[in-house]
Amino acid sequence: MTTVLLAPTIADQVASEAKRREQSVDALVNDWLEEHLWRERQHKIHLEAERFQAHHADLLAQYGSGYLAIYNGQVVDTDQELELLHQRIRMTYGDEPVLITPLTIEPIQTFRILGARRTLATT
Amino acid sequence: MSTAYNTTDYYPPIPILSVLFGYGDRRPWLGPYDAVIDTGADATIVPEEIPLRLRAVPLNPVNLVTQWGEGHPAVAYMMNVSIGDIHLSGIVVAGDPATQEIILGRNLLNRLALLLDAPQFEASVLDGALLQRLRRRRR
Repeated sequence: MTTVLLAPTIADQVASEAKRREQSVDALVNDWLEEHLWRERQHKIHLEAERFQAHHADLLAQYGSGYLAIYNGQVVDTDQELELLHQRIRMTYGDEPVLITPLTIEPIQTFRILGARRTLATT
Repeated sequence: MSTAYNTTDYYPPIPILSVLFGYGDRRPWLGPYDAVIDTGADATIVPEEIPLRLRAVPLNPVNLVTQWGEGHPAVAYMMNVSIGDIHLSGIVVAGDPATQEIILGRNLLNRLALLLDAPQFEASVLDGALLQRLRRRRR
């Protein structure tokens, strides 16, 4: 357990929001921080993916196929089976954001969706 | 395990299954959710809120593309999916910030034996005994 001192203006706002949500301040702050850390992991994965895409041709020539695990720009593990690789990476790195990606001729994995109703927002 | 087709939000009615999502072995499961059976989808797609609430760790960014070539980015995760008594682990699921629908794609559907009883508007996951009987009859 770590105690964090909040600035009075922030503490007041957090207390007010916790009351509105009928949550404790502790639960609300922990929830917000967890979400922030989750989004930070997303950001790191995107940065790792950009590095992967920049070196995609070299990695394809070196490894050929299968799945790569990349951490801080370095290939840290490979496997032909995604689930096995994922298990090893989670055992070793916990919740650290390690890019686990298939190595194909395309630098980014594409999922096709042929369902007629679904519409995708363009970004 | 059977689920009635969704006859209110889709026309013609669409087959759905009731599913739960989990991540790893230490977090609670989320659901049940109604999920559309879509053999035209490569992968299973969920609203981003599900991996967010599970605090799932991402695998890699992916691109979702429709048959008209429209596309946008999402993020893939490895999750566990529970459908009735069937528990599937190691399912790649794309978390999509732009949808509220859950799509069960072929990466998951290809691990199930399904009966789409469209005239009765009912989708069923076949259990082992019935499936064995049907397979024997085919031979």
